[in-house]
Amino acid sequence: MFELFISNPLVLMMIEVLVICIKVVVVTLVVFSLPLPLTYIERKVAGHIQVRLGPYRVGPHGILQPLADMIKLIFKEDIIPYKADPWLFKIAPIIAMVPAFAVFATIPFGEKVTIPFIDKEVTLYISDMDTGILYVLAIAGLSVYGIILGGWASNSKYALLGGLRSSAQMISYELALSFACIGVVMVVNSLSLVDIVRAQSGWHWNILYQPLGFVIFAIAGLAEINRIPFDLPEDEGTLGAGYHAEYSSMRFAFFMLTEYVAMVSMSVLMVILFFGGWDGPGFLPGIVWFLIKVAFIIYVIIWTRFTYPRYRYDQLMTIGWKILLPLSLLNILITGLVVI
Amino acid sequence: MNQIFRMKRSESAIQRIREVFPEAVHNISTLNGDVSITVGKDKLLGVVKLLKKESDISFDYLSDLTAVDYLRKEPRFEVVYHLTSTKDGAIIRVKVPLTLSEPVLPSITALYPSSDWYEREVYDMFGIVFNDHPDLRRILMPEGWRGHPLRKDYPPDGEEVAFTYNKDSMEEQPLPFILEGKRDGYLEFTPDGFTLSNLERLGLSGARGRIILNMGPQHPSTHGLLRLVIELDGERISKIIPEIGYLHTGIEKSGEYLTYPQALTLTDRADYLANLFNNLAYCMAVERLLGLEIPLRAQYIRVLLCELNRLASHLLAIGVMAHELGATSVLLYCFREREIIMDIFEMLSGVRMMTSYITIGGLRDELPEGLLDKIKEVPKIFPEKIDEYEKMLTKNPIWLKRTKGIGYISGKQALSLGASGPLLRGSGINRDLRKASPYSSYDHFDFEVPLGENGDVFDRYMIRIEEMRQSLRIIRQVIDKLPDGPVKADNRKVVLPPREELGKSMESLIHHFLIASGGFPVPGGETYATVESPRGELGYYIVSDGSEKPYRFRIRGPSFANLMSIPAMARECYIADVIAIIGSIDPVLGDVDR
Amino acid sequence: MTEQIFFFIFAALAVGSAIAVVSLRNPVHSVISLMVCFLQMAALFVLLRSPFIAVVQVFVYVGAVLVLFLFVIMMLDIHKASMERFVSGGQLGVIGLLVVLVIEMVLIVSKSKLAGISVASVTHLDGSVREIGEALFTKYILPFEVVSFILLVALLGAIVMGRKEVK
Repeated sequence: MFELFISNPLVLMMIEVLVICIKVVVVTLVVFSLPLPLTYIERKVAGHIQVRLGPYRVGPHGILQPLADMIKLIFKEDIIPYKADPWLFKIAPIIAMVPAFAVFATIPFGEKVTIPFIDKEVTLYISDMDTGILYVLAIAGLSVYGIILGGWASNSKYALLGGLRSSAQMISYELALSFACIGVVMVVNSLSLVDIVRAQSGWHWNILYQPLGFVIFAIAGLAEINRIPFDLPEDEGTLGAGYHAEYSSMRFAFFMLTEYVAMVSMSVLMVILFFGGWDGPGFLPGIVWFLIKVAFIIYVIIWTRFTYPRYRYDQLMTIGWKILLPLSLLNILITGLVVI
Repeated sequence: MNQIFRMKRSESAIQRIREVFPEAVHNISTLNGDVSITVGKDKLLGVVKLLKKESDISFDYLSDLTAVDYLRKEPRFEVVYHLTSTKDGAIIRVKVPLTLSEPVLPSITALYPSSDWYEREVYDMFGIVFNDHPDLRRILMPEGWRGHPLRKDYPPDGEEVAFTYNKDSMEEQPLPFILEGKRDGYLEFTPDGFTLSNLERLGLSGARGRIILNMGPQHPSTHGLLRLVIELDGERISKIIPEIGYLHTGIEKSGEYLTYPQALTLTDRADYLANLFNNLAYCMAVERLLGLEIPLRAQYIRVLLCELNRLASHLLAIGVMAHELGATSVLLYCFREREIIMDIFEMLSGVRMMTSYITIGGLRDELPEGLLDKIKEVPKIFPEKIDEYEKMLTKNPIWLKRTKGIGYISGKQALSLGASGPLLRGSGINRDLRKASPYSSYDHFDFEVPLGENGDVFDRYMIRIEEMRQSLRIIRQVIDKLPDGPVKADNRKVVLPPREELGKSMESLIHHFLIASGGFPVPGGETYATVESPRGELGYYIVSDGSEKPYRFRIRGPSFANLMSIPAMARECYIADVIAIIGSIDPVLGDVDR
Repeated sequence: MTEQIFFFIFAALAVGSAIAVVSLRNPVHSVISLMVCFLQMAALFVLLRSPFIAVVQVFVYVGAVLVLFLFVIMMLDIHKASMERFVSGGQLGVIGLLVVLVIEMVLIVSKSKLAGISVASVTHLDGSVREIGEALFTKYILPFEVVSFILLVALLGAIVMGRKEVK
């Protein structure tokens, strides 16, 4: 009786839809709650690098610190500047946030898993697009809007300057980022992220085949997510706080959330493109390897932040256009020659 | 170059002046080891030009420009110029008397561009007008303030500021000073009033496409309450104007109402990162007036404490500069080392920063037991820590890109703008007061003065690192050579007696009581004493009228003159470079605004 | 069935935002509406089984061209621009033009074979990247090269025009 029910095509379709909906909800919730422990980890790592303890008092070893921060941010007064454009001001954080989440629609976390009761195989990704990596790059490019609009809508000189500079920086480095990805695509012969990971199975990780591409991707990735050494638009020292200077309370929280989610998505991309995704020795399931690699890369990003000074804006743009772009074109050329 | 030679140099300069301007020089004095002449105001320009331009005289550096208000004398004011020769450290003091009815003088900005802000301060504080000054307006007090605070008939008390909550309850009082244009005569706070009202006069064109950006006074990177009005042409700076006075607390005025030992505590707070240097300069000035001889042990320990303070100050300077450019971790590493020095100061005096340990006549007390061992740790621990900072910064390509070639100023220009300390030495000018006119037995020790070549931010940073190493060298030598002996001069009328005697000797008790309560009279006279603080030439000009309180308590802060170089260094640079430039000047607003 | 529902949603949003583009006063709001419109068009491309074109639409139009529009608008003085009349000659001319356009559109649509379409018919092409790539580099190689050359000329022209005068 149950099997008959299952094999009805309408029910099958509904189960498919249900599975996709569950995946979307799970991914969204996980990604939404990731920044909370990430802020704690960042502050702890920063503390230990800087010969101090980091958060310590709120909960054992400061574990509850992110919770305290969240409560504080929720209760802060929501200030909208006097002559700010209210529509744009309110929408900008959301426009910034959505692309950061939308990227995760194509990210594969592992191969298939079987759900015991229904005996159904579920793939650990929401959708395997043919044009997976192009989709990721395109959606990542949309995050520029939140920043520009945030800076503009605040009606403040500082915020506008910060917003424009940040967006120009992101657009410039998108090019180098995309070109670095092209190298990977040429090696794997497919745009689909699942194919890219599958092609690296058995320790054929792309970092061995695309070392230059990896370096370019790493540097351009840091610039895309506005982290040191490329975080001048957010530089507290110079311009206050850049494009989100005038935001307070939850709107500011959304911008911060976006920054951390972007950091996670860049690390995830790096793992998928260059470090073999879920590839690893069999004693741990693939998804655990995936998470270990992502965690390591996030750690390296945080480490870099507290070690290096930051570049000046014109130096930043010089690196993006005059150094990374020609290098990435060279990478494509070399890859093309070798592949053919 | 010893003191006698320097005095002879100044005296020969005066001979030359008398040759050229026979009737100009009224009075020559060599009191207290300084050479000073009094000149009539119509001959001032000629005399100063002679002093600067004649090649064998060449007093090419303006150390200080200030004024004194002799209320009961005629003429009432005296404008005092201290000119220094960088060749051999000779100083000459030129004084110009002025009456209240005609407080006008020609400006010497054409000869010494660094007199710009000094003359503005004299105008602000005394009401003396300087003709031909490019921009004579108030510098420390707010625009529109009426009255001249350092005049002797200006009361030292504050007046109530009318906020909304106390406006109605404030009584109507006739006040000798009111803010122009404000109703009721009270100082009222209006946010709109905080704009730069005379844009054109300052040369800010406000042309299309140029943004006028206001950096400060509240800003995380301006090292204190410094306001920079910047005109931007895109990303590049076309004009930058520093505005100071936000930290003005009237230290100089307060000093005139405190006894000499009490005024010592004020000096810690002027340049609050180099407390002991302030103490030292003040004590040197007062000891010169008193004619006190300081025992050798006290002098050596003074050197030791000052070099420790220099270490602490440079650690903070480097750490803060690194933090502003993004390398936050260096700040925390530097502060970790600074804590060691703060602990030493705390063990010494109970206070981490404002120790006031160097007092008139020597030190406050003998070093506590065990302190010397703790100080011996410093030259053992620090060298590898300094190497650690260098590892993080000096070879770092990002650091090099942010500091090399940025903020260039030539030696000549720096000198003419009154710069001193690492700012001046970065451009290759070898002027360190510890070598040029040694004080407190600095000539007993062996050390080098690091010099820069390129005059950019990187060189000044390297100079600070090297100066830290040289300070460690001096500390090692002091510890090795430290003689035994008293730490206070042998003059009970001035120096507090040792505590053990208080229980036994009636005389000591009387002395202690008199010194601590009413101070001690200092013979009349005036003197200018300088030390090499971490920021440059720090000088105290004390005028005494024979009473227990200083008649004029003038602090020549190095950062006041150093800040004048900002427009020259920040021309055509990016706005992010301004942060690096200010970090390399390392100003402390305490001695800028006092 | 579901595809039709999605089609109507996207189409309605696209038309609505397109109307918003021309009717909103604030130019920045117009650009945002245009962005919405383009995103809906990308969704429509997906419905037409051309994911590649959809992604490229987002990449190029929304990600680059519109950002450029935003930059330019932010440099202009917004208040003046929103006060000026867009087409001189008054409303009569515009309404007349509008009527002519609507009549044209109705005539064309009613006469074509498109009147009876409901769902995009699946063609023998599957619109995958491989197909597009092969077509571009074999059958349509000449137009491809010509277009890239035109883009190069535009790039060079922009750089030349944007250069500051050498003093």
